[in-house]
Amino acid sequence: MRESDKIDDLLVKVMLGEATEMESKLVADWLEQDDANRRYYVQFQTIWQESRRLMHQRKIDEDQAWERFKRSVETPKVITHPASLFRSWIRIAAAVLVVLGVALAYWLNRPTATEVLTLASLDQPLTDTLSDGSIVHLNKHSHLTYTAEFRGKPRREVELKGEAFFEVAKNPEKPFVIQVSHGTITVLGTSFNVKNTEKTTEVIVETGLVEVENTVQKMKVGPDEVAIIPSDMAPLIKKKKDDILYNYYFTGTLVCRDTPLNDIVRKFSEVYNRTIILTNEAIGAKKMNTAFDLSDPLEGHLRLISQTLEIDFYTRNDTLYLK
Amino acid sequence: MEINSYQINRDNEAAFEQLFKKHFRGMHSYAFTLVKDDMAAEEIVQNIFYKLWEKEEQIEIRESVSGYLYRSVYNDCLNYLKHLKVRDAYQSYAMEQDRSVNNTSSRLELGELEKHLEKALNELPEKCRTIFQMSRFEELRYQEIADRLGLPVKTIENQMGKALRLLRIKLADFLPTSILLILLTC
Repeated sequence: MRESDKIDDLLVKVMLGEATEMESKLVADWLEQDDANRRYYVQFQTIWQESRRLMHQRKIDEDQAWERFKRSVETPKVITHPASLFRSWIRIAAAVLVVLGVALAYWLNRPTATEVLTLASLDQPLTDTLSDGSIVHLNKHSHLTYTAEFRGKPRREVELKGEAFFEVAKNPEKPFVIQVSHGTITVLGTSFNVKNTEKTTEVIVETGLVEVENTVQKMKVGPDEVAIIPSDMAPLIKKKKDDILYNYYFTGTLVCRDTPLNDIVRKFSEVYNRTIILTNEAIGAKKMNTAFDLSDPLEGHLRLISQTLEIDFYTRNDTLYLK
Repeated sequence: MEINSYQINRDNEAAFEQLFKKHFRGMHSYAFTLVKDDMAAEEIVQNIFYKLWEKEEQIEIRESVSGYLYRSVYNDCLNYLKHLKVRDAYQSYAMEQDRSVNNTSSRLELGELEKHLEKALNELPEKCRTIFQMSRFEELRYQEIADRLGLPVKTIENQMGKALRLLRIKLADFLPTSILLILLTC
């Protein structure tokens, strides 16, 4: 070990009151030798003192934490995955109440491994965690069916109606399989969006790799790619992801990058539940580059759009018009 | 009593509870200093215990249990932060609007130090970072840290020296060079 490293160890020991008498004397002599040495030591002290400010101030109660832990292992739905946390989870408080109510029902009924559970959303998006740590963000009016426990099964199977963004926990031994209208999507561990209607299914991959399959063919889809399952017998379609308008329902922000007004208005009417009409086709093609916070009122966004694109915005009978 | 690592799961709840309560606070404090979010810290620690709870096979823990737990906190927190960065890429516009700049020239020097200290601290290698955490934030003596991590005291001494040495090098530009200034602010 280098000479200078040894002195660092001793300086810290002295600072922390861990040094022996002989070591303290060594340090005192060293400090005596040179101004630069004293400065060096003071720098150590400064760092040590400053670091105190970074300390976590709130005292956590481990007994209460244990109670929380016990509750979470006894109900299958309340386990969390560290990467799932968004600031906007506070905004789905209503959905959380629903989940708590359902969790209570499960606690009373103690589901067995084969019991089938349903996750369903109404007018609000809903986020939940499955027993393997995978997270599902359901958009409005969507529906996911799955078994209570994946333990003891070769695959993790769920069925989706509607739209959801999945963050699948990695488990190479147990593929995660989603049944959709006309095919299946198989995943090992990744994040992606699935929009499923009666006729078609669209899969947008954010990270990782997903395999999409129908009766005709099987196809791998990677990051920033989109796969479409048109219907049972038709071949699958793959294209590049050109918008970021799919995760807005759980991030709370609609990010527009060269996004045509047509698409923006469509998403707005879905989120805000209002009718927005573009009076002519030409404005629909105009592009916006900005991010809209979806907790702000719609009128504000439309006013911004009208200013930026130099078009008119007015309201009549509760319908909003852009012209 | 050091718990036999192979018994730590749902089959031995009493032992598990003991382990949980012994380490939760330290682990949570560590997670908090890394991710700076109370809720995230709790969920990360709970998740580590959950995985232990659910393990059907015997775990091969080649070191002390505390060492394993603290290492898990370090890794899971860093993963969480990495994941946040990916998501933040989509919200870059919103974030730029949020950032508020507060620069008064008299405060500038110490404020910068704190910010860079936080960053430098989280860049320390894993063992170094963990030992610093236990000393500074859990206020444990060297011998206690050595016992918990199953390491010799000499290693703790070396790692602490290394921590301060690395921090000093990284923060060289932000440490006040006037001794008088330090003595006044002590």
